[in-house]
Amino acid sequence: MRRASAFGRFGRAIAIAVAALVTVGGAPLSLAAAETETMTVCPTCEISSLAEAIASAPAGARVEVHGGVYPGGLVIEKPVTLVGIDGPVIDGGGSGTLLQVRGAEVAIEGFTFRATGSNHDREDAAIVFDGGRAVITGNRIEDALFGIYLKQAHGSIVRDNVILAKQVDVAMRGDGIKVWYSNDTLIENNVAQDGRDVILWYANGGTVRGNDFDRNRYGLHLMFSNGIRIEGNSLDENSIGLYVMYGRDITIVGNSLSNNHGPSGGGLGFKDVDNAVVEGNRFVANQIGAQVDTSPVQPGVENLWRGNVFAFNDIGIGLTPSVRHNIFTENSFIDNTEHVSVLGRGQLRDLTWAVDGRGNYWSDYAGYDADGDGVGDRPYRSQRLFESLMDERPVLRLFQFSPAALALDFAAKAFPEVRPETKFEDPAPLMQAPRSPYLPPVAAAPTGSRLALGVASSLALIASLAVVLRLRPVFSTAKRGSRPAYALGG
Amino acid sequence: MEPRREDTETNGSALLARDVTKRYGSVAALSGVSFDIGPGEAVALWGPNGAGKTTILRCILGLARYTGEIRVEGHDPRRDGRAVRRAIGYVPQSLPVSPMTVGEMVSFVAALKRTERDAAMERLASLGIADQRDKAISALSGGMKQRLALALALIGSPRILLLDEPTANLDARGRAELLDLLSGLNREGLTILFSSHRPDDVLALAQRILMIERGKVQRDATPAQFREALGAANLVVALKNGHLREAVETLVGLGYEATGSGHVLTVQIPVREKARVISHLARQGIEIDDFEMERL
Amino acid sequence: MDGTIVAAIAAREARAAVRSKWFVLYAVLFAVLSVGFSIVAMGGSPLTGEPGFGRTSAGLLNLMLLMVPLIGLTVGAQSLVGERQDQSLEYLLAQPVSAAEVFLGKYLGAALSLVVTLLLGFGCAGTVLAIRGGSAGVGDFALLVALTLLLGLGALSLGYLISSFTAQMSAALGIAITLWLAFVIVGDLGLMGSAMVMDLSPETLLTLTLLNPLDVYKLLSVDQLQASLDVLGPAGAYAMERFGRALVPTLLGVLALWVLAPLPVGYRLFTRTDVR
Repeated sequence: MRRASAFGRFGRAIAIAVAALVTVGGAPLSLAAAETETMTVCPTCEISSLAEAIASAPAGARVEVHGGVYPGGLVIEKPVTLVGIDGPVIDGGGSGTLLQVRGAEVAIEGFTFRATGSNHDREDAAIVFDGGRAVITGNRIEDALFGIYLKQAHGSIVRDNVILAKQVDVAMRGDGIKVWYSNDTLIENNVAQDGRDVILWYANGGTVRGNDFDRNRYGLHLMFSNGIRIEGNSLDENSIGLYVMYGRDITIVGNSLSNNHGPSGGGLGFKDVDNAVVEGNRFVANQIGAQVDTSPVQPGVENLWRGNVFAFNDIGIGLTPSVRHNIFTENSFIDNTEHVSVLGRGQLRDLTWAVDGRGNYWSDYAGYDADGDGVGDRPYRSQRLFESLMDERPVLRLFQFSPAALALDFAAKAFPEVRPETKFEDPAPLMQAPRSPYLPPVAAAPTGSRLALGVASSLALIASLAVVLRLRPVFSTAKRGSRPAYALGG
Repeated sequence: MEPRREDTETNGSALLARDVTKRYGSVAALSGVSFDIGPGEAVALWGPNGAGKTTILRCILGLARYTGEIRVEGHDPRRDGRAVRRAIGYVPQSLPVSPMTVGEMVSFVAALKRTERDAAMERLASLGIADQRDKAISALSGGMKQRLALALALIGSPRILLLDEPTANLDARGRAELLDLLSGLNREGLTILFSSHRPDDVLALAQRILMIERGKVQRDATPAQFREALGAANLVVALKNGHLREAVETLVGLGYEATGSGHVLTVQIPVREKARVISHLARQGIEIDDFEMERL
Repeated sequence: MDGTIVAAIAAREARAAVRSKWFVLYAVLFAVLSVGFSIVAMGGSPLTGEPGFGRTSAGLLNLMLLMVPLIGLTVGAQSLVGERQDQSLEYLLAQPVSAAEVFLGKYLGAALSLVVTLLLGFGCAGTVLAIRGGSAGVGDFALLVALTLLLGLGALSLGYLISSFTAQMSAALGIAITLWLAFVIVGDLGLMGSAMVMDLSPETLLTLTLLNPLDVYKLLSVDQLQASLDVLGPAGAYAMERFGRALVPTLLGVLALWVLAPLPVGYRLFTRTDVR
């Protein structure tokens, strides 16, 4: 369904693009070209070489490529539409870039791109645009150093593609999608896995929506990019799910970031980000759900965190002591090992933990709500001794989950003298976890292993019960009224 | 491999000890104990508590370290403990209470001795406790428990029985029954070595008595010599008006061993103390018909 | 060494253990604990989606860390001493058996009863989890069970070692409880203090921690439940970097060492003196 409508939109986009070219290009374009000439390429056709077809195609032509394997190293310098039918493959045999577009509007649809080179200096890629505008939809890219690389290709669309990176050492991998000085790009419903980053450099405006970026270094990475909307993506098992550096006016809504771990890794990272809205995202089981460093930077600017769920992270939100002017309201902090951590020495200041009398939900809040307004009557104070020790000396994290750590916290509760300073205080903690309308849907738990677990456990249970009953003849002797007296250790 | 027979000539002994010495730190529990017990003999280790009787048994079983030599049917407990313990059936002073039924315990000991469980169960029957099979050991009476201990010791048909104060926790009847059983077993050819501090038990069973004192065998005596050495006798008193229980209680209170039935009271005393017993009874207002001394 | 005799002694030991009131107490407590743990740690919720390892599960892991070694140490510490005190050890050794058979048989019997105690609990937990529709993989769960069994057996071996040289039950239990406190709290507190005062490197700290079987168990179970040790900070990261793929085998090896190493030492102590 979604695919069909996407193609519909794609068709419209082509029509608009062609119309635009006609108007802009003016005289050189004949009427015939405007009516779209269609060429067919296949291994047994009159034109069996894709390169040849591209060379001979008139501007604006539609080139239909049928199943077969075609060599890479293609260069396009005029507006065309390449349509793959029956899964044609463009195979680079492990060298160079497969398809390069120079300053033209080109649509590429329905191809499999395979085996680029692995040269980082040349940035070998499956598809490269040098200027122009890209409409890249429904392709599959395999064994690629860089997948899709857009340089100064404003207004491009990258949609419904699957990009699988070259299986080389992590340090040698390239980016699944790289956008360079290209404004207003739409990156939608793509999958990019096992690569370095999906990255936007110096991009203003644009939307990244509904993608799956998993097992990369950075799931999605913004550098010096402003006014980007990031919505409904799933960013799992990366070192860092989403990292925003040096940007402003960033909107992050309804994304799911889970199981992101790695050296200084985590779900979301902010460094020098101004005027961000982070709403209705789900941060689950990350090293750090969100880590915030010097954001916002500009005076008078605030970042807003609303309706997010932070659950089962090692640290829910980590803030460097320099962070000010962040607003947290209606977020849920559920069973994070540490809900809020200070990253480094210092104290949290000038943060807002409640808006209009609505704070956040804290799974370990021990207060009550006598007046029944859904807001706890006592503030939530973060004041655990072991936590503050850990924040100061990260090496002590090794002792988490130990009875010794528990004992320290207990001691701090019993003896106010050793109680640490309050880390932060939520004046209006919520009694129920709020459900933001933007939260992404939860994937159903896999049921396959349930049966196995049930069977294995029942077997263990039955076996051990059998042993017990065999060794403990309660039933066989009870009827004689001479049940053995039990001796200790005996 | 036969263990070092050349060092210690066993001469067909069932049990043999040569110069056995056992020290706990600087205290000698046994010093230079030697004896020789032939097959089929019933021998008592007699002596006061702490004389070292139990220590001798423990050395024989290989449970304690010692210097000197011990041979059990030619086997050295230190080198070949398993063979030694297979030849021996051991009856402790009291059978340890474990959370098992009689039947379970019999099966367990049979397994340890690598014997058929059925044969072991027959032992139970021959000692008249087959009907107790499903009872917990802790629920047995003292006499039954000692019978069970004997039955367990006899599993695997050992040729030697070692008993540590077998009658200590039994009443007069239980004692008599157990001694009867043991005599019977001895007549069947079983070698018996048992420790006791009761002269009458010693005399009821033993053909030889090793008199132990302060860790030494003071004397290897026949029953007659033992009786002599003990100088003890039974004073048999016929009471005029009953009061038997009162009389027994009085004498036990004075530290004598006294038993009685009907009008007849028997008290074991050193010969010289006859007058003291009689006068005590008189003082309690117990009238006496007649009395006589019985040499043991 | 005769296998039949070892088996007979083991069976008797297990029977005695299972019939003791401790067994019932431990089994019930542990079952309640592990059911709670698995529901919280491996269950997941509509708001959060996946199951997660969080503060609550950490708390229950803590309880496991408290309880399993306590069970193992006390069961082990009682085993030889109890029989020594009521003379049944002497009676046993007066039978045609060897000291090695008795030592090994009784250990195996105690181990069986411990395994049964723990499996009862985990069996309940897994069954409840499956019925409630938790998404824990059977592999993960089995690994956690295996780890906990190893920890329990390690504690049992240590307790057994204590039991092999003590004459009094009170002394044995006293030593066992002291050891338990040392492993559970005192050791870690000491390390924490040293880390703060002396600025220990993650490497040193990790190495010292590996001396404590409870910490090894914790590292392993966090690694299993979290798929990463980064929650444990720089020292955890160091462990992953230093050992890489060998991390789990190495830690398992350390735990296995705790299970096996006390036994020969205990046997030497057991046979050093006369049977008492």
